[in-house]
Amino acid sequence: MALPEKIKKTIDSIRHQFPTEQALLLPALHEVQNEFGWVSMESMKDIGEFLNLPVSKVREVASFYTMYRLEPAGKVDIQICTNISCWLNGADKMVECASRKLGISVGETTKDGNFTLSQVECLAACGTAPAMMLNEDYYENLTEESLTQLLDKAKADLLAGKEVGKETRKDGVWP
Amino acid sequence: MMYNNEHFEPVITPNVTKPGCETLDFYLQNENGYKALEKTLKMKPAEVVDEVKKSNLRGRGGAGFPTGMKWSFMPANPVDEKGNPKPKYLVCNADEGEPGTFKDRLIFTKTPHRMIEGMIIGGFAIGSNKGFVYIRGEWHKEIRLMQKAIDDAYAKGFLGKNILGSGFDFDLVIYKGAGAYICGEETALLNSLEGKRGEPRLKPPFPAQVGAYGMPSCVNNVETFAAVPYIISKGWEKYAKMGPERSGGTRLICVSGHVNKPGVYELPMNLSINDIIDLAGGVKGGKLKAVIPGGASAPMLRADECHCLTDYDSLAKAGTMAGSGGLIVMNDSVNIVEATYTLLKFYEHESCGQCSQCREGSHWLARMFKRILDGGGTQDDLDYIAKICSNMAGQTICAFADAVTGPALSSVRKFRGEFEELIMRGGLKGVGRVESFSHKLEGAHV
Amino acid sequence: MSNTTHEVKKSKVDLNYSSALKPVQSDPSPEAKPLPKVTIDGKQYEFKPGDTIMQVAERYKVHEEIPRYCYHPGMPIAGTCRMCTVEVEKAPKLMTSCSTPAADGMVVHTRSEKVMKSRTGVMEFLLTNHPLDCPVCDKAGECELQDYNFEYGPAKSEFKEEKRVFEDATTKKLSEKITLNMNRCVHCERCVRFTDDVTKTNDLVMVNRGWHKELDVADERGLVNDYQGCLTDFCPVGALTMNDFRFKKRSWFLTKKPSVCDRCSKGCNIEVHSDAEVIYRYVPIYNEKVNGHWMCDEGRLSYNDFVNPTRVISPLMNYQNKLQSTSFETLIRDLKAKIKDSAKVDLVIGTDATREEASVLKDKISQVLGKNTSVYSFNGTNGVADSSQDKKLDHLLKMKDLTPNTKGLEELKISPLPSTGSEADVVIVFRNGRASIPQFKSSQKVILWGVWNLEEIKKLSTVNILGVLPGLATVEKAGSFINTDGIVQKFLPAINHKGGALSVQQVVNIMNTVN
Repeated sequence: MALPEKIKKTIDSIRHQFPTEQALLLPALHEVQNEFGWVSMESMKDIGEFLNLPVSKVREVASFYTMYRLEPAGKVDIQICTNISCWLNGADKMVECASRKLGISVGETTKDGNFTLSQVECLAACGTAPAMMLNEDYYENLTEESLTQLLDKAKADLLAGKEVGKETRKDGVWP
Repeated sequence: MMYNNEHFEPVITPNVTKPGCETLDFYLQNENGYKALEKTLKMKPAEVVDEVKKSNLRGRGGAGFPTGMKWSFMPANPVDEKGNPKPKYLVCNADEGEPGTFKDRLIFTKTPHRMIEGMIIGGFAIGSNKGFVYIRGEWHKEIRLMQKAIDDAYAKGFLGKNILGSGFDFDLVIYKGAGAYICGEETALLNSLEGKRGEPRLKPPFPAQVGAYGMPSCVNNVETFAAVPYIISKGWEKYAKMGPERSGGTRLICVSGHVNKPGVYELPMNLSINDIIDLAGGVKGGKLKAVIPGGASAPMLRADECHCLTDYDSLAKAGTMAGSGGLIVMNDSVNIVEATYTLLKFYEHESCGQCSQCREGSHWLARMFKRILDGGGTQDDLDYIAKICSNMAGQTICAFADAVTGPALSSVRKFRGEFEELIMRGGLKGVGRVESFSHKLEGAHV
Repeated sequence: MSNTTHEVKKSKVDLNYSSALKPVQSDPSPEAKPLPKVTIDGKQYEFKPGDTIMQVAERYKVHEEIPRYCYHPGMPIAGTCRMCTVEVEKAPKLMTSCSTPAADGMVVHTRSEKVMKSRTGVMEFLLTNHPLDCPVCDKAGECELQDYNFEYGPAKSEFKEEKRVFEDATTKKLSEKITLNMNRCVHCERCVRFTDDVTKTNDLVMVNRGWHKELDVADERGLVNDYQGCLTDFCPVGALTMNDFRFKKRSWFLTKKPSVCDRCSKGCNIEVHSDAEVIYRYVPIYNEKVNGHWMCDEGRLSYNDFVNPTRVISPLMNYQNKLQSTSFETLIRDLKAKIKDSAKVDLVIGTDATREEASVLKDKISQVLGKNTSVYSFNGTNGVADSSQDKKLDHLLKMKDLTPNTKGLEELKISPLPSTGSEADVVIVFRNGRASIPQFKSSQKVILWGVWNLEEIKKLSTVNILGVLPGLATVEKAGSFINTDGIVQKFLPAINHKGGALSVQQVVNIMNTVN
């Protein structure tokens, strides 16, 4: 399966901004991650072909950065920060609450494939700790109630067939 | 006490609470938007560099290197072996990942144009026609806001060809990062910008000789750029006078942790840490126990040391550093060993893995702290932590290894009693504390 | 045409390479600028601008070797292991000698207290997660980690935590030839740089970051380059090991003698590792002009042809239509009798014969046989007939001509066998196991001489073979080859032949005395 045409078009539209072809690797991986929710070996080979890079270079980069998932995950990725400022403000209670509510531990995906729970490092939202990301959206100043409400809303949205966690995407402008 | 500094006025954040402050129109109408740029384009590049040098602006990313001096290191007319001119690149380091720091996010969401103007001025000063803004990938919203700001600036002719009729061209491109704290390091950022793994490079050669894509480059922090328009429009003297000798201007201090009013505060540098905590509403939930004054890499200070002033030199004298300005406040409900372990886990996760000392040492320290928390610690461990840190610091490619030793060493030195208690009583369970949930799942987020 | 003569040097201890760079010569003419000088451990050395401190130290063999893991002279500089750090006066931190260019007037200390402490520190860190595998690891005895730890490492480790384990990669076959034990890896990344920049096949990749960094093959094809054995030469620990050598012999029992590989016309310099006259492996020796630091896998594994149990090592006589063992005298007497009435005798020398063998055969064969013998050379590998048809098969070392001495036979003016084959009644074929076997006509009587094995002879079932005279393999004799670049390479025996074969000169002598 080759790289989807729309990804190719997006990358071609920014080619002139960068002096080398390899610089397009991170944007290309982001596009694939956005489109499919994860970066498969197939996609890495396709990207390599498209950008004239050997697969080893694509794989190196994709596995180095934490935002590129190398295995399929849930539709909604719940990423709770557990670094120092959030931890001081009770991040582990948030993790415990989410874990209880979804019935999974950290690093796992719910059986229906909807939610994945992860711990992440500092999101630069320390002033509004505890903070988390739901796919691409930030939610800050969490409490157990607000977290529970967010998870309920996310579940309801998914059932209704709406996309969750992509509130910032409304423009459709890259990046 | 409150700022009795008569020179102080906010440089970056005078209007961040007003609605619509991020739009170009607001910036043009209410903040003398792009007037500094107009003034710059009539000056000579060397004069601009001189202004910034005299203002004593120091890099706000964490290293505190004088910005004017950094800009003056850029070669004037670099050519390659064939004699063709080499392009110069100006790079903005917006990969804010230092725990406790969130000021760049404020600038992006509230005054993006100030930063754009600062970059164009910087490009003019060093002779660069192309700028890259390397933004961390998790900031989807901030990236869109910045892209919109850039598009607006292009539309009004502040970016692009022949800016304001001066003949100077400047292009600005956003590059999205992908989740690696190490990419906040200058040379690792350049590698990431080139589409490679974010691994720091050997220095020499320095970025001013071989930078992004092999061309001379200059990397500066978001806050540094945001301070530049003020320096040009109001003059270097005003900026320099706001701060002590050798470091001018204000700093955006990000107060977080156990305080009542956490947030970003633009402050002069003659305040003490205690003053800043008071401004932020005082300690929440108990008495002050410890403060990390400059983001996670800075050695921590005990409560009795917090009378220290927050300029670069005073903090350096106190054995810590000004760093990125992230002030993390901890009250007496915190077990320092646990808090340090949270940070060491972060470092273990984020090490790029090139240098033997950093790769193995950060992992070793994290495991050792976990063992002490679980009750398997011994007295020798405490002495050995110092030995490990001395073998790590100063011998690696970048300063990450030194950053790891910051919390590890300072926590043992200043709170040795807490460690000894855990060792003697058999860990957290022995002192009657519940182990943190996130510590239980250590390793799962990897 | 032989323009340079090289004596294959006896290698020193280290397995990986030896920098045979000559000291920099200063230009004596009065206008020349004086060469810059750097002081290392109290002595001054001249260097070419651009040299790194490590290169200067290596060239002049300063003191003992500066320890290193990630540096290799044949690959791009990494500077990540931090083992080669040295103290440079006026520099605030220790500098990596592999990447710091030497400067005029620089003063370097390679064994100061700070440096030794740093080396001990690095050793301790590398040993924290390194498994205690020495008793079961092939690399023991030639392991850089062991050697440097003995010199610089701490006597005792204080690491009390659990060592990291890569469960899926403890014994992982990366290809038919290479096994990976990721637990032993010290992340020098020489292997990845090798496949990226030297073989340019990009088949290895280090995934993840930090202490999770794991070596893996790039995709499902596995390792595809032809130089996989080199990975095991320069891996400083036992992470990458050769399946061919796995668990066969402890390195300290091996006798090491230099020789020349005869698998193709490149003539890579090799070191033959043997014990009790049995070869266990070949490794390359650095030769700037011939093979650099590397050798290909086919050459590396070609020693198996000489330890092949089906190799003919005693004279075989065709008696009652079966090839039967006998002595040289009996066989030669029999052969001479059988060819007495033949009109025409041809001697076909394979292009894998040494120059000395070919010379003796060419000069003496007619006389000792007592018959007028025409002498030809024969190659036939990959369709190559003479040296003009030889060409490179890749950008590194592999050559199309799979015999070592095509140019050597051309120098002796031995013309190649015509493509129609030999027209003689009796054909004597001398080859050392590398040249192809020519086609024979059903009427011809054939005598086989040199290195042959029973499988090759089985394929000649329709041919009337009068007898087989066994000869010595390349590594069992002294001789010289001329390689594809015209370089003459002389070599001495690396092992003594265990069996009944004799050298060409000895057989010719017997032919001379026997009627």
